[in-house]
Amino acid sequence: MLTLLRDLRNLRRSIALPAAASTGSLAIRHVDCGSCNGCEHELTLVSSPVVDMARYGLGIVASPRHADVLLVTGPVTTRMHAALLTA
Amino acid sequence: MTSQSASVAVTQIAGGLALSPLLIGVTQQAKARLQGRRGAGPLQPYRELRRLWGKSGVDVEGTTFVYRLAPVIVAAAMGAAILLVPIATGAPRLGVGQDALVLAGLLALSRLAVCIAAWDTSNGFALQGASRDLTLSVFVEAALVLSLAVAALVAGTTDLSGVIAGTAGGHLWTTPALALGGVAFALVIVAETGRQPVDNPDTHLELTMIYEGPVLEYAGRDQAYLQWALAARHWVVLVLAAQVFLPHPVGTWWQLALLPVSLGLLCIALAVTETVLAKMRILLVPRLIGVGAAVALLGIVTWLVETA
Amino acid sequence: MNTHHGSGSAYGEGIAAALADGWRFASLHATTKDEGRMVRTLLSSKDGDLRIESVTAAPDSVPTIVDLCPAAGWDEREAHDLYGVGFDGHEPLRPLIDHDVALEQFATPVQGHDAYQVAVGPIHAGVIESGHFRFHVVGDLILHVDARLFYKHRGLERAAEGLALNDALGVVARSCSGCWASNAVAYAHACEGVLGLAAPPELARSRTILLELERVWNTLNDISAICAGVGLAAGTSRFAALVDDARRLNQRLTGHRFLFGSVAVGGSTLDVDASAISDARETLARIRSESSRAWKALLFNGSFIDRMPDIGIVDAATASTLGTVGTAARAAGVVEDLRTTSPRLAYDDFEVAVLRRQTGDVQARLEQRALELLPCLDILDRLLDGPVRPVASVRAEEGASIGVGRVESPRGATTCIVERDGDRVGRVRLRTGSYANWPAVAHAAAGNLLPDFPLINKSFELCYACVDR
Repeated sequence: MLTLLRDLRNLRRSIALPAAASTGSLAIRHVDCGSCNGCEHELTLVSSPVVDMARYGLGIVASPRHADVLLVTGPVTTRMHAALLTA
Repeated sequence: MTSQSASVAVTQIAGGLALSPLLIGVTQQAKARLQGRRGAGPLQPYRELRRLWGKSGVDVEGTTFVYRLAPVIVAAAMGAAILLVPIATGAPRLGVGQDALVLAGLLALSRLAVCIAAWDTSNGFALQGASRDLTLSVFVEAALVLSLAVAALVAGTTDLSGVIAGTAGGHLWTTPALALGGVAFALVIVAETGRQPVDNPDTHLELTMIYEGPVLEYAGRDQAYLQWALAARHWVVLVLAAQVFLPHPVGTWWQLALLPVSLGLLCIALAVTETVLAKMRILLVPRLIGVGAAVALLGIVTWLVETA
Repeated sequence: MNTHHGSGSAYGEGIAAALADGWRFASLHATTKDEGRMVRTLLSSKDGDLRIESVTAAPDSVPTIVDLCPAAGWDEREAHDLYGVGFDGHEPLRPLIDHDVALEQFATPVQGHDAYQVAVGPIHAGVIESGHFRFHVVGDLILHVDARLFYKHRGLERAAEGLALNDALGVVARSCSGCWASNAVAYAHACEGVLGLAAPPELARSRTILLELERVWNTLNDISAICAGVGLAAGTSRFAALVDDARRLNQRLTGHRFLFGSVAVGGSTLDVDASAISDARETLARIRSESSRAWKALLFNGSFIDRMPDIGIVDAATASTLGTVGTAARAAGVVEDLRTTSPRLAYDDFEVAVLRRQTGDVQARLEQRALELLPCLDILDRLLDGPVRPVASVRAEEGASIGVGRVESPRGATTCIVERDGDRVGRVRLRTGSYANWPAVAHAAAGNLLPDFPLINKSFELCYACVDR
């Protein structure tokens, strides 16, 4: 496990992300309305060490009640239409 | 009230109310660093609280005052717990006494309020989380009471201020019972703060949620109360751990001076366990906490044998 | 490829005889022809031979084959919902794509003391695709799961109809970005079958490189997802960073992180010069060493390993019955991989990586993935030996009215069938590895605990997008 932690430390140093200029706090709720799965794959990486959206105070939350932003991916299929309105 | 006890009282109230989110912030920041991320800095929980405080709450349709009151009850219970848990020997009684068992009661009260509110919303995930939480709490409370009983036996009192004085100095190195109690209390910390391997605070998988499930329906200011209460819960158990089960010197001023260091180390320890440990299978968690209770019991036996 | 056209009982008897001869079910779809609605069933042999059994709906139903091969269950339900074809003997014929029905029509009735339902989705709490699950549970124990997908049904197959063969590639392959290259190559093969084109070695090499690049990032992503499923943050972060490395490599080689636009019908326009090749070899070597180091760290993490065994079991018999494909099937001991029978691709002498412990549980699927990463990197190492140049297919034989392409995607066998209408697409059917494996997920979940379901689900790591299309 120590190798893994060391690798992660090296990774953090090699990527050397700049500090966020102004950090706030924003909660995002993701709703997939018929995307090609590309958005989901990339969104997963946005919270990884490579992008680390948490450094801007951005976070994905589990409930629409907790969220400030509704992030809709995809063209909104007929079946997701009602669900999106509920969310 | 002497100037010493007055300053302890001020630190305790101000620290507990204002600094407790910092504990979560430090833990999150340490976790981010350990995971190779930059992180948002230890002040992030304050930004979140500010954002939530400015938002209006949304009530769930068909709920009653039980659901409305829960966040306030939880926050009030944790506020009382902050007054109850002395941060050093010289702390004055702030009107709620300092008995260890009252603390167990306050923690149970806040849990009860959340679980009843979950019933009120009749949201499936809230109820599921609540039922898991209550199942675990049977074991967590036993471990909490037993581990505090070890410290109380060593100190000869259940008054927390007395417990801190009684376990200060060289006691920790010479009393095996306290070490056993410490092991049990470590598991209590993990369970009470809802961290791995018991629960995963970062998860977004609704089926696995324990503590997050019942609070899914709260928004805005209600959510701010609950988030602050979670931070206060961290404060209460970590302060106890630092001043009872970690080495702490005799003397109020020394204890106060060393407290930030101990709290910082405990936060980092939480971050490390959360990074390198996976969440346990849910049915094994009661067993883990049960082992904690058994270890605490062993501590009591050790002490009784030793002093007999 | 043999095509038979029977009617009524002859169709059923033909399939029964073929299955008895060792043929396997590969796909079933309905289509509209001048003479009426037809149902076509594609069968494949172990050596990669294909045959199609067709039957005309008279007047609007055909005999079911689910009693012969349960794997055709979803296909028949889809044909019924989209083309209105009835299947005699398929009882109850539950709706699959049609959502305008009462709950009772798609959910299995479960009765008993203390049994209740937990509904999840279609919108999930995290970044997960949309789909609805209905768990029948007692306490935390799952009795049965009804998965209702197709919330993301975009009608891509219908959208492709009437387009020129090459233009429809973008539409069909875009059904999923996680399997873009697999879908695109399967479609291109099907079209080339229609046109009577064959792939020269250089084209086979170019496409194999793309398929394996896709497998690399998907495999790393699967391991990262499993770590996330048990909350092992260090593992999630480490493998997520490797996924990004692999996708950046895709971008440098093809101009797109998900390889979009790198496949065409009748040739390849992919152009990679020598310096990009050496960069790719370097990156892949680094991914190899870093991923194996991280994998060892995972193996030595007791809390992680403890979560894996004995949950989400799909044994070999069940896997065969349900038509499970890909790593999920191989982890259960059904050693099948289309890469062993892909003459149009450059998998010379490919041998399937076989797990020592083929228990079909979450651990087996995880280990199978880690095991398959190495041969996948080996193939890339062998193929990335020089620049990749644009190349065109060569004319080999007369065209046909139906073409079939089958490719081993990261999630298992992906089948694409194209029926031509002049020089345009008349009907296209894409049956991906995810489509074949969803019934196995529901099966694997039964008898496990509710909090373990995300982990079981992630151990299959299926797409919703390329099922729903």
